[in-house]
Amino acid sequence: MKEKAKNIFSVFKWGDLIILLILIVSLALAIYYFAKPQEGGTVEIYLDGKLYRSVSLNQDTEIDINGHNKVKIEGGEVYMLYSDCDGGDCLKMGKISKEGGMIVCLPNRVVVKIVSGDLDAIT
Amino acid sequence: MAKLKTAFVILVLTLSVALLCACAKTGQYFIFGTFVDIKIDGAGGGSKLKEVESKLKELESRFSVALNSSEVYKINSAKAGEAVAVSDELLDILKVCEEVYNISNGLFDITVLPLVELWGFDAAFYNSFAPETLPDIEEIRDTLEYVGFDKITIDYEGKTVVKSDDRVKIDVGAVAKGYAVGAAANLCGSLKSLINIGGNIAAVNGEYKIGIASPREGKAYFGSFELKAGQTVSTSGDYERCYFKDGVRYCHVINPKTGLPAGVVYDDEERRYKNEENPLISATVITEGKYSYCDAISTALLLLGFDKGEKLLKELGLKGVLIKADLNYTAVCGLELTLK
Ligand SMILES: [Zn+2]
Repeated sequence: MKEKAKNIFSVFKWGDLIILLILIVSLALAIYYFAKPQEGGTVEIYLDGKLYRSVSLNQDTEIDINGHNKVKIEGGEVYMLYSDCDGGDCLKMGKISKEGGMIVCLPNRVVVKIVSGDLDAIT
Repeated sequence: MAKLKTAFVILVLTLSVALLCACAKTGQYFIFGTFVDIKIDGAGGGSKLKEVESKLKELESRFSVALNSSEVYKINSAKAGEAVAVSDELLDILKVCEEVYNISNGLFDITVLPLVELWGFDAAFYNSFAPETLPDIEEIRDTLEYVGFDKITIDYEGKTVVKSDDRVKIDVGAVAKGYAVGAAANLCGSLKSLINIGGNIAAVNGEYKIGIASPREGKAYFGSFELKAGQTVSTSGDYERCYFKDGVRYCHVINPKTGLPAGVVYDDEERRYKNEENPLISATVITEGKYSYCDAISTALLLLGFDKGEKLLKELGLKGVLIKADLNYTAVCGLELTLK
């Protein structure tokens, strides 16, 4: 055991270990900040059950979903702007703005929902 | 030696990335006509997620009103007097339905499906739209003739269900989501996980901060509380799956005695439907385990209304929150609710 420990220290200098530590810490911080939810709610768009896009509710934008659906975020409200689905039910769903709110386009398998910044789930 | 050093650095970096990413596996699906969100922590979460997904799909195919291969569909299309064989799982659900039917004085009733359809709600679909014309009060009264839990006979030993009228139809949607939450929670075993099937939520081996949806505009959510390990919560509200017509709100939870949606009354003189004065619009209940029961109780509460609902929660010793249209609320049995 002693031999092995000695080997590792002979391979690594203190400088190497510090660089390694800095790398790991910055990686952890990067992952933490990327995964951290934004304040005031986030709009999550799912396609085929997989997260397609995640955007802040406060950011006015238009999101195209493979040319089949278009979601609009404006003034803290979200609605389906365009859909090529049969019946266009999702277009009649109106606007959502509350956490837990959801718009569904079943034919195109698209789900748009508002998730919370500081909650684990909404009942 | 330099090679060894590089290899070691790569190994440590890969391991730390793997550890940081392995902490939570999440799965999102659209099952039971609603959004399913599952988060599992710890090693083996990924394969567990697959297991949970296929279990949920199996349960949906068994309990769906819409799929013509489902057990529920078989019951609904059976003739009066015909014994329909049912699975142990459906029997478990029917037992809870019977219990909550009795607790709620018959207000929680899975035979309301013909009324739900009459009001234009699609039991298997999330979106709801106002129909061209509302059902006539006479039509509703005619339909009530074949609505009632006493019109089905459940043989728990022989594992069959018999209807007393051809037209009787059941929808276990108000309890199946809770049942599915329980099945998923059981599969997670010792892993820390959060199961959310359309707002029916279970905390498994961990504590989670849960928000109660804001029933009306204005707030991001109404309030929040801690859901402790082993607990489950369900909410029923008049704001989910509802439509408006001539300023009246119609929700998908139908009263089996009046034939009208929760919070709706019929004015005999004016010959029209009206919303009740300050009705109960959101009912949340928390139970220790008992997932299907929790789901069914929340529906029963919405139909019971504020005062009777509060009384029932206290009698059963269950934590819950009831919110009225004017947003006055009560938190029952020591539930610590933090308002948003
Ligand atoms: Zn659509």
